[in-house]
Amino acid sequence: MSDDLLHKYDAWLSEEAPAALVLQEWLVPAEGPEGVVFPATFAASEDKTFKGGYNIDSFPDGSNVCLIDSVGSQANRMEPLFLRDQYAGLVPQIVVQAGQKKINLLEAGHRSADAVVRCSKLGPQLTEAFRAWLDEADAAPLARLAPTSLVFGVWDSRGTKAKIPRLLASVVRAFNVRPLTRSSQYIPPVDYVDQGLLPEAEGKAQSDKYAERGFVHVPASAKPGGVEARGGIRRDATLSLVGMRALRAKDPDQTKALQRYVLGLALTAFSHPAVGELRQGCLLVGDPQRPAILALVHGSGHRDPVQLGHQDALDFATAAARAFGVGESMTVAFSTDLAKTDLEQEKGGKPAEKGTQPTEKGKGRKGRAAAKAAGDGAGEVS
Amino acid sequence: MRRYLALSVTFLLPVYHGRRSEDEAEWPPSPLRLFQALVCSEKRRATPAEFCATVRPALEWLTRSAPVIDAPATTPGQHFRLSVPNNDMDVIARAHAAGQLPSREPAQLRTMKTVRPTHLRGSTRVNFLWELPAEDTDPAHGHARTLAAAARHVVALGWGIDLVAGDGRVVSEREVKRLSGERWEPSALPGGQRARLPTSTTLAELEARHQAFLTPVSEDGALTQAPPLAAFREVWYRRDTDPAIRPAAAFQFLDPQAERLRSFPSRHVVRVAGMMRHAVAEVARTARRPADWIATFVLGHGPDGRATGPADLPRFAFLPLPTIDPRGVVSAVRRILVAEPPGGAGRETTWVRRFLSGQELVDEETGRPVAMLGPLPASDGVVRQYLGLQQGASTWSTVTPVILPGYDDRSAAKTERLLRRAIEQAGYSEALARGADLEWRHVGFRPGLDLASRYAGPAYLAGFPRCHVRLTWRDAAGQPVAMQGPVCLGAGRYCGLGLFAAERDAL
Repeated sequence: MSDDLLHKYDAWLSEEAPAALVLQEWLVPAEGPEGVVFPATFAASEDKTFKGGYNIDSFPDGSNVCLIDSVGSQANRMEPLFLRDQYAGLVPQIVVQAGQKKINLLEAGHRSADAVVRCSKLGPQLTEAFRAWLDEADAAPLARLAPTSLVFGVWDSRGTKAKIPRLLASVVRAFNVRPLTRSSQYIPPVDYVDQGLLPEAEGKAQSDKYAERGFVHVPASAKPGGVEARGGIRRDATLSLVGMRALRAKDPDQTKALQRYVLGLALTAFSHPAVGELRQGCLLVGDPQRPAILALVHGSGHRDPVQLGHQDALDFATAAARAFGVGESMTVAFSTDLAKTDLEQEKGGKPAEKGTQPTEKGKGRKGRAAAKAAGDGAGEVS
Repeated sequence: MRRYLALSVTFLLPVYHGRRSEDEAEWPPSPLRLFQALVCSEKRRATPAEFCATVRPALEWLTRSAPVIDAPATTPGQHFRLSVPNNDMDVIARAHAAGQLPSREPAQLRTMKTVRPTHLRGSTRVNFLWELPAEDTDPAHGHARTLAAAARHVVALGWGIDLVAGDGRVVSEREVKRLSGERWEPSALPGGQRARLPTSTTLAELEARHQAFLTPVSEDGALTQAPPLAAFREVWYRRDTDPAIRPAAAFQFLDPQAERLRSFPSRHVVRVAGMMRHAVAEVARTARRPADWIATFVLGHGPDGRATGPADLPRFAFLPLPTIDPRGVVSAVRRILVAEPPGGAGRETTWVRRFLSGQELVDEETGRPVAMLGPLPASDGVVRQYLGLQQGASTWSTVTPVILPGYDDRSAAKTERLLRRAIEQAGYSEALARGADLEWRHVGFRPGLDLASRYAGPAYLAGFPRCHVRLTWRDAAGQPVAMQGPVCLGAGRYCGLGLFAAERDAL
């Protein structure tokens, strides 16, 4: 492997480099540009000004924008890319075994700070890795255990409180949408009451029960029926090179190797086409009429177009991973004892015993949930 | 020529998620938020020695003044809730480890998080501008270089998903004038938005909070929690489309026995305003308020003793409110607002609210009481239509005609010029006066109104043309701007003529 490949993106890691790499990728429903696509639905706001459903914001000029897939959701789709054979060798495959159940760290909601791995035999090592980041600004230990946590961000909310900002953000939105509704009716295969198989329902409660269990016709009228995206559907992805350059290791050589490694992983996820089925009714493919636009953004706001193919990114990532040294893949057992200790600390507010982390007294899960709800779990700036 | 330190952030997506409070989105990003982002990036980048030697003094310099903020216009997005994981997957794992089925599924271990996006329109760049001293040798110039470099290390501003490209440089006054965003200026007068600014103790408190956050359990096992940040100050920031707040006190009219409501014909608002003015003056004399204050602020006399003071003299406006029923029909006057000048602190209306409740209105001709004043909250259904509710309203129309501040010579162009002049004379900015959509005619825009010529006016304004008006406030980009009331324009604006109410569709 040539040094040229390894140094290919060093210019993006220098102090004078642009601030970010941004991508605009146009998508269409697999059914065609005029196909109906089903966006994500959201719960009603607490004050009920938003009654729930699609998130569509309208503007004074008559245009609107609809959220198809949020930043958090996109991250949860990108990270498992590294489970696939083609990419698995780029990162350590850390699997936590709890009884018959196996959970890969790449699929854990809170990444390397997730309770499932904290309460495993790997917990103490992760704690040390977070401490190295906090106390010595050294991200290399974490890069050897869970490098995608450095790409997508992580907050060790139940342990060291380390907050590592995300470097890669991606969102899918549709423009100038027209929301649609649809109606349907469940028709039971047999008319149970007419056939004498069930008695006539007595009262609303029983009638509702019959409907719930599928014994009577059940209409569903004017339910959300997707949207027509008249202005197109677009994925916007942003990779912060400023944040990348802030990653450090013990010395300049290690720092450069670390930055190249994390950059390689980020570019691989960033450049992988965002096609596929986001949810039922939302199967998106690339728009052949509108090629993707990739640009480097400078601090001044000025943008320079740039070319980057997915294979280029993967080749670079492979070289950088080899040079840095991918951490060891392992399967570790979940420890019920560690989990119990963790819970007891939470109740008693006692200092952590060796191999466990301190938690806040009295808050319990709701308190942690409240603290978690105050951030997006990936290094918010308040 | 003046020079400025410009610290800029370009949002890489045209959306921002920062919040002023749990229930309120924030725009523009506050100087305190930028300060925290600079602290975060420099604490990560700089060695402790470098931070103490160069970064800390530079950050301290930033706290000495409030910057001007140039920011794009925005549209608030609807707030919604996301379901996020609780980080207690150990609940599931413990069950599996014990060979049991978990009592809850991962999808149930979630909590709701409210998202309040703000959509940026046009540009995505925000500039924070601090004026620099003229002398090149002033240490501020060194701080400017340090801060400009620091800005380039900022990763996000707002939430963690609000990734930015930061920058910093010294710019000239000419370059500042060419910036194309909305200009938010710090203001001593209330109005616009309140923004948080760092103080000289903010940095120390951030450092202490960070330590407390990382060590929630002390050595003796006691739980410590990082308290909310308290070391900041708040300053009003206004655009030229944000008028100063105009405090007002509302009253309703009761008969002198306080047994029923009392009403007055809406064509005689000037007479009602006169009785109210007299009542306030009487109470002020009894309360031994200064005589010159009574003469000018209450009665509107000139400081030189003339019966009528200059147009820009600070004084109360007495605004009788014709009732507007749910159908939008305007009828008799049963309420009145006493309003301070724009930018008032609210002290005078507080005094009026306390001392005028229960007072009588006296007919100046007969000397007999004709009404008693009862206090009214601003939430009263009719009053709200004159104040524009909490969010304001963009379209307003008259309930009493505007008396033009000059002769229009029956020229539409001149009428329009006079109306725009009347807007500025009422204390609104030139930008608002220039941008407003205006319609005018002799017939009212609301059911129940009389012809403009049939409303009684003060003798000294006899002969000046008058008309009913509908206006829509707009910014420089032509977008509607929501404003709060009371809105009262023209030469009779202190005695109830030229009073506007918010149109219902705009509420």
